[in-house]
Amino acid sequence: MRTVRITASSLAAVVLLLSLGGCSRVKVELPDGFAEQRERGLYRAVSPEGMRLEIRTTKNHPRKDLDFWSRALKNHLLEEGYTLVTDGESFEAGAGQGVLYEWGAPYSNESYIYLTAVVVSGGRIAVAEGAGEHTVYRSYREEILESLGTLELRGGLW
Amino acid sequence: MRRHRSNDGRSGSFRAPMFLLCLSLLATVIFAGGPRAAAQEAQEAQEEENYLHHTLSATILVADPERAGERLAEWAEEEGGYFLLKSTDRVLLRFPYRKMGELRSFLEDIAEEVVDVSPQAVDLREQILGLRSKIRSREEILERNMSYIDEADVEGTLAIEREITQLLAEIEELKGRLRKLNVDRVLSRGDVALSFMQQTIPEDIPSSFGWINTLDFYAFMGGRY
Repeated sequence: MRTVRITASSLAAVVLLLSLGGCSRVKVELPDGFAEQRERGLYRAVSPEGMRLEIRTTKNHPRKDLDFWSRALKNHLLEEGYTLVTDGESFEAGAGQGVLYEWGAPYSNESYIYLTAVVVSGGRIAVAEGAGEHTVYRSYREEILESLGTLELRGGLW
Repeated sequence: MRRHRSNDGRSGSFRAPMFLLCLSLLATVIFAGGPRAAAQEAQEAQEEENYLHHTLSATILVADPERAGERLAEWAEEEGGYFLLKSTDRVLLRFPYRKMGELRSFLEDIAEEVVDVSPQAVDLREQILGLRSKIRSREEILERNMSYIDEADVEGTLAIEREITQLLAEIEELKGRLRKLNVDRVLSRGDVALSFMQQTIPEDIPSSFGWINTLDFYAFMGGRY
């Protein structure tokens, strides 16, 4: 009876491990001037002005390369009607090659820049999003790019 | 007589320097005004040959839209054009078509971000030639009608007068359209958006890939997570 109980708890632990094992931990250097907030499955950096950079990971399924996913992302947002501001800027991240796009969108009577970046690393994809009023965004752009350059994916538990 | 001769002699001696002075003045005018006149002629010839109406649509992001609008309007006026509309979101300009390249540089100067610059050109030749021939044919009819007036009776004169009035109205309307096209040949049109406010809000269109569906600026701003 006791043996059965141990097996059940072990089984539960294994299930938990399996369910969480799919998540990769995002390791990235905080952009200068930002505050870090970590939530399960999400890395978030926030500037004093409220500009956010968020990075999460997702499964590379169907398993495709960076070129495929970056084109899929671009085509989709263009189709939705976003204005392309920066078209496919490549960058080198710790996890591998990445591509970023910057989009323009009106928000709250102001012009915002919306950053989307994708890094493909084996079976995982890191997806970064960031947005800010265009002058605020410009003032932090370099810091954000530097931070994305340090992005690494590590399998593990959150 | 002697005095007269003497006067003649004086006037003869006076004429030679005057002639030389005139020659030198003429030479000065020719050499000073020559290149400028030639440049002007070349410019006019170029304008005469230009049958394209150029337009430039641009979206730029600026830190101070009000100041940027003012600077754009000032630029247009300095370059021999004018502005049609000036707001914090948008500026509509007319400017000499030769300044198209300069406007692009100016936009780069005042913008923090040049998002989009789309130049376009429409050939007006067909429209202009069509209008000219319409005007010419109506003027010929008008001339013929005028020649009939002397021979016409009262009823005929009234009919001719009605036709002349109609022809004159048509000619004026056609000439107005032609003048507008001629202005379009010389003055390009610039439509500069100073923000994304003119844009329509992106639609939510489903993607075949799950994670791409999660990318949405408005959901992101709303703190989706």
